Amino acid sequence: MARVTRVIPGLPLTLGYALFYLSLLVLLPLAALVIKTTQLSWSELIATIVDPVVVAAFRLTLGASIIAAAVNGVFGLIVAWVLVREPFLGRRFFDALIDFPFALPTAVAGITFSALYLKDGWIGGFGDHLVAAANFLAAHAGHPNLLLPGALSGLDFPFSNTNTGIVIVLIFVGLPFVVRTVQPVLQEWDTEFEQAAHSLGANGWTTFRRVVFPEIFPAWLSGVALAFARAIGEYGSVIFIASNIPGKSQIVPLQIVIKLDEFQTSQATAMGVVLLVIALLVLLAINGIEFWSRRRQRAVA
Amino acid sequence: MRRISKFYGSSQALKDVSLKVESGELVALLGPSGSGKTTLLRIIAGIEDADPGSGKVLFDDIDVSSTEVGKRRIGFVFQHYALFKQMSVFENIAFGLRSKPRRERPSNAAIRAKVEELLTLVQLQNFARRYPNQLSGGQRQRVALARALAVEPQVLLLDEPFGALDATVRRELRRWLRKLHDTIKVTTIFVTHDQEEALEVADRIAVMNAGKIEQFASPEEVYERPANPFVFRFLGNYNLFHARHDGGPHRHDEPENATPVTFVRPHDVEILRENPDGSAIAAKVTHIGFAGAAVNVELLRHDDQQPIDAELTNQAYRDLGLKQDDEVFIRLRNSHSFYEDYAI
Repeated sequence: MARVTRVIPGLPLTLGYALFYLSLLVLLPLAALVIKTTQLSWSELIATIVDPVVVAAFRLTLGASIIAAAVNGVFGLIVAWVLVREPFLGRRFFDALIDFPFALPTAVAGITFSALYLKDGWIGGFGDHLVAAANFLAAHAGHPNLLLPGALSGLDFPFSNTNTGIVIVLIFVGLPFVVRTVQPVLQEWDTEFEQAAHSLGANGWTTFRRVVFPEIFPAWLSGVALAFARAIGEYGSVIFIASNIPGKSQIVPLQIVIKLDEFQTSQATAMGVVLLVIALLVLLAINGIEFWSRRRQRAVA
Repeated sequence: MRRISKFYGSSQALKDVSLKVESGELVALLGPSGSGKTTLLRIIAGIEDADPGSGKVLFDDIDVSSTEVGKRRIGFVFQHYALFKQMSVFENIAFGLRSKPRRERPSNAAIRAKVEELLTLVQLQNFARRYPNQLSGGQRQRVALARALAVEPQVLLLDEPFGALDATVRRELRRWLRKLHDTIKVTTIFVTHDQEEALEVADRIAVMNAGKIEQFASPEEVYERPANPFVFRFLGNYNLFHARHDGGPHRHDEPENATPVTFVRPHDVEILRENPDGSAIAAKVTHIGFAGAAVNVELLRHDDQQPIDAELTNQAYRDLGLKQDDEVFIRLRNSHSFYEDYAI
């Protein structure tokens, strides 16, 4: 029998360590979460989940996460493309900036976004600021109260104080994932393929759709999945920008924290498990699509 | 129909190159790396632009210099094939047809018929459903060729088409290309650095060096009557004689003070056992390299201690019964003299 040659010397040790490490840090807490949930009976579990406030929270978390992941899918791709392909002044600076959301404490991000986009923020209250400025100038010219307060509120960031703020911070925290997964693939990409497509008469869009995108699709999809997974678990930044009204603008992680504050640990873990299952299913589905698309490339005739 | 392709460049890679290719011709752009041959090909294709203010590319007397690559009706074959990995062979070949604007696009049945016709042409009928990574290098290159031909180009441009293949496949494929060209008669320009390939396949060869075309003529012409030392050197092995020598034909228009440089191909060096009329050069065999059909003999001249390479046929070698350190005489059958005004 052929001996299995090991790439890393002493692999059994490293393998054992890796498994131990994963068990201690990932499997054990997950198991504890599930075990804690089993303290609830089925009826209690279902009662926890179907509570309208909880359902609304799930709907908000999933909806906002899907939108944020989709937006990141499109813009992350564009950002990655520009960073790889278009040489411009300060490209390296912007490239480094992409990792910013990874490093910034999410609470800081949340506070920053609130300061900008909420009603009294620079962008959130843009129309009102404009009215104040116009009236200030008009008063100097002798025409006090030129504009009524609220006359330009149409120019306010249109969705301030609604759940759009949640989507915006989720886009922010998820931005690096798509960029960082697509970027290396684009860097490896040989422009000859595009030249070949162009020489065959394909326009830019056809070339992108049929030649470039299929190549980066698996990487792009994992980027989107990671951005989505990050979004459903995001807590710190969202609670600052959301108005956190139960049943309206409370995300699931916040619901969990509230349940914990009320010493309803089992209910909190139940919600956690549901969130976990959703995340797992999404990641599984995306891995499936990825696997399928790679298999198609290597299909045996 | 006459097809003219002309180009005047002023970049460093190309210096005022002008080339006129007849319709239906198979032309090789031959030169060492960095000679600008690929750049010229890419400018003809429209993948690269010539410098502003420099010359034009004309197809059939129509200026296509500002026509973008997709509209020039060219077929371009890349050295590394550039086949679309996630598409089957069929879809790769159909790509050009499917990418046409909706009103020009042929029906699915017409596309299928065309692709099958091309698959037959490149002898890959049974490979339609395969993917590029399931094909050998030679098969991939044939798919790339079929893909380029699908859009019925006016000009077929091939960039080092056999460069990435091993020697046997390369030889096979270039004969096949020659036959294919005789069948479909599409004007073809291909780039190569392999002189053997250019000589064997092309109708005419443009020998390029440092951004210029040194000679543009038939394979026989460039080989037998090279325009300058560069062309001579590039087209094969050679011996160099700096001083005037005995035994070779002299040029009658030699200026008084110029020293001619004489080039002789190794197979034009004749080795004799005797020196009947006293005109042959005495030399000593220093090394014998047996290369199958040919035998390479290294000699050293007695008079000026210059090394000389000779190439004998296997038969001639056996008739002479040559051994290392044998004292022999050499005679030059055919030589080319150039004057030293040419720097390479």
